[in-house]
Amino acid sequence: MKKIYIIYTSVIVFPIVVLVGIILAINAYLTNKTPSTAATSHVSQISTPTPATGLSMQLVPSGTELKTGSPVHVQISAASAEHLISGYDLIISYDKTALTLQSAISLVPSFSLFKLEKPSATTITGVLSLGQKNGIVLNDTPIVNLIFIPKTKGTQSIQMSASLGKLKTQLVDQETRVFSPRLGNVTLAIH
Amino acid sequence: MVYSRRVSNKIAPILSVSVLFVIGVVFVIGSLFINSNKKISTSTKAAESTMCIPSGNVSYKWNVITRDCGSNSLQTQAMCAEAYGDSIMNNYWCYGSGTCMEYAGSDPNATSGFDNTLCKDGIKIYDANVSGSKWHVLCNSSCGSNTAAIKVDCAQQFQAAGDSAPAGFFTALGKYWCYDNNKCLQLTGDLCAPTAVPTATPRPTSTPVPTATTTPTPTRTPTPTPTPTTIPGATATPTPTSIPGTTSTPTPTPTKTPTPTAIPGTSATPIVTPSSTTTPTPTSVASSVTLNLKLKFLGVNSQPKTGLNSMTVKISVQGGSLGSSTVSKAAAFTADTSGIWTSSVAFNLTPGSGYTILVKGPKHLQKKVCVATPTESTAGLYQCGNSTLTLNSGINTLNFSGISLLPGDLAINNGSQRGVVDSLDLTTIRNLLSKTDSSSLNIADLNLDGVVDTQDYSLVLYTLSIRNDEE
Repeated sequence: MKKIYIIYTSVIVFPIVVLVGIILAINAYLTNKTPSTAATSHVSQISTPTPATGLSMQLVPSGTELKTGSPVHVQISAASAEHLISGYDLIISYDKTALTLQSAISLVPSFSLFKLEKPSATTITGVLSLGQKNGIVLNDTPIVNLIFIPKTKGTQSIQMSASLGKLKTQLVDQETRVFSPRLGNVTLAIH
Repeated sequence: MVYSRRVSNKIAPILSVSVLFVIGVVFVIGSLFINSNKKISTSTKAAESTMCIPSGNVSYKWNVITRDCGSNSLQTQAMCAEAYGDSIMNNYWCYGSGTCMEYAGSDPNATSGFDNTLCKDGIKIYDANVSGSKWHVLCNSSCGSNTAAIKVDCAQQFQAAGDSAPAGFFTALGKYWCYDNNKCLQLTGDLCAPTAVPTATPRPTSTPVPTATTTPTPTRTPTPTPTPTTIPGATATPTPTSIPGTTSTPTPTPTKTPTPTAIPGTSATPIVTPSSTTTPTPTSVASSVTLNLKLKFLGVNSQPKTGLNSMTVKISVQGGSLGSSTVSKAAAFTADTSGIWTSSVAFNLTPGSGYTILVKGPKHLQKKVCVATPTESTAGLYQCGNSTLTLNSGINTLNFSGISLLPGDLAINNGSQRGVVDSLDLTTIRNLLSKTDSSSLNIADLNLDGVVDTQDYSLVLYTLSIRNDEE
């Protein structure tokens, strides 16, 4: 009787253990196989700014000795530390009585820019075009060209601000994770 | 015999359990395999639905190249549609930086009030009955300011493709145009021509193509025969033509459902009650002040489908006897057949003047209102100045349907909104395109048509021109 009990128990328990193991193995295999699909479908777990390790946004002027009335090109370059970026928001602060931002042009063809002038700054949002499937990795990549027209002589500073009210300078990857990059600024001498 | 019976008694359960085990394993593996395939095929379908259809080069007055050149045209189309009180953006086109055009062919109201007016810089420059005209122009409208950057981008794309860039590469912006989110257009004719205003001519498809200078005239028949009418002082406009291969995407009319007789929002729930720092006037007595509210949400121009016909909106009151403090309540609004949302909410306030109302939808930026019946010429442009709003004891009727609440502040992070519209909202909608499940719709179906699509995306683009909650 005891032998039968042992046999019955092993016959029932052993297949269950094996079955659970197989299910776990298959599940793990499928999860690893389709990471992007899973990430895309869970958009609500996001948006907490992630510490910016290796992420940066820098201002790079075409020159530092400049004249009033002549256009000044300032490029914004960005590094995303291997993250696939699909959007960004920029806050550009400068003295609007001394500089006019004539235009902002995306240097990455698959991104479109939307500029909005605020009293104390200019905000720019860049988004990956809908026809573009995947985000891009930025590796000190020039992403925006700003063209300023100096109006007055003197030293002028252009800064990238971390925040303006609720708006933040940030990078957003294709899984809707938000990153706060290290920001740079530039000083121009206008003659 | 007895032995064999014992053996069969032992083996029978083993065999039966083993068979069941094998069946179970096959079933589990099969279902997992089917599920994984289903996931992948759904993802592929979503990606395909957002892909652009290349049009290729065509030998019309405009050359077309296919690339991603931004979505600003959708943004401005949405604004124009809103200005006309319509939800179908494909019926509209924004030209230059101040002219909305409406395609009259699909407009149920076009049989009357169709005036064939052409505008330039918001000023009527031409008004005549042009035979066969299908478009008219909205004067004094604003279509945004981002077109120049996009046109420069298009110019760069043409140059990169080996096409000859004109002299004054960045200044000859009139030679380029971004159309329908994926096509850069380059004008192959002369940019400047004798002063003329184009006449409206039919076009072969319902998809308009903008022109480079003053006022384009989309056409509807396959063989357009433009006959420019010379108007002194007006500048030339090339007549746009259709693009073979492109197709119009009609927007389905949402199924209308009966208007509920009960308003769920009448039993409002208080959600925020900051402490007041201002002492109420001693002679005043707080009493029940009921606000009967009417609201309008940009992009929702008819009654949504059943299940999407209720929205919880945060209503706040500040100013007046409240001083710098604010009281808020949430109320459920329901829509009528014309897309006007109604509800009532009661506050315990001291009747008086100088109050302001803050309204925030579940996917929308907060709007500050200072009068009982605000209006605006373009969605989002109403600005609250000095408040003249008086709230009386009892029922106060506040009709805010003359202004639009702008969508885009999505409840992404565990259901909380951030008070700002930015690239995170756009990326979220992008990831949810083509989704129809309730979770996705709750987050990103802004026009409440039961699917997250490019119309929702373009509504967020439009709201980028405002960006922040008003407080």
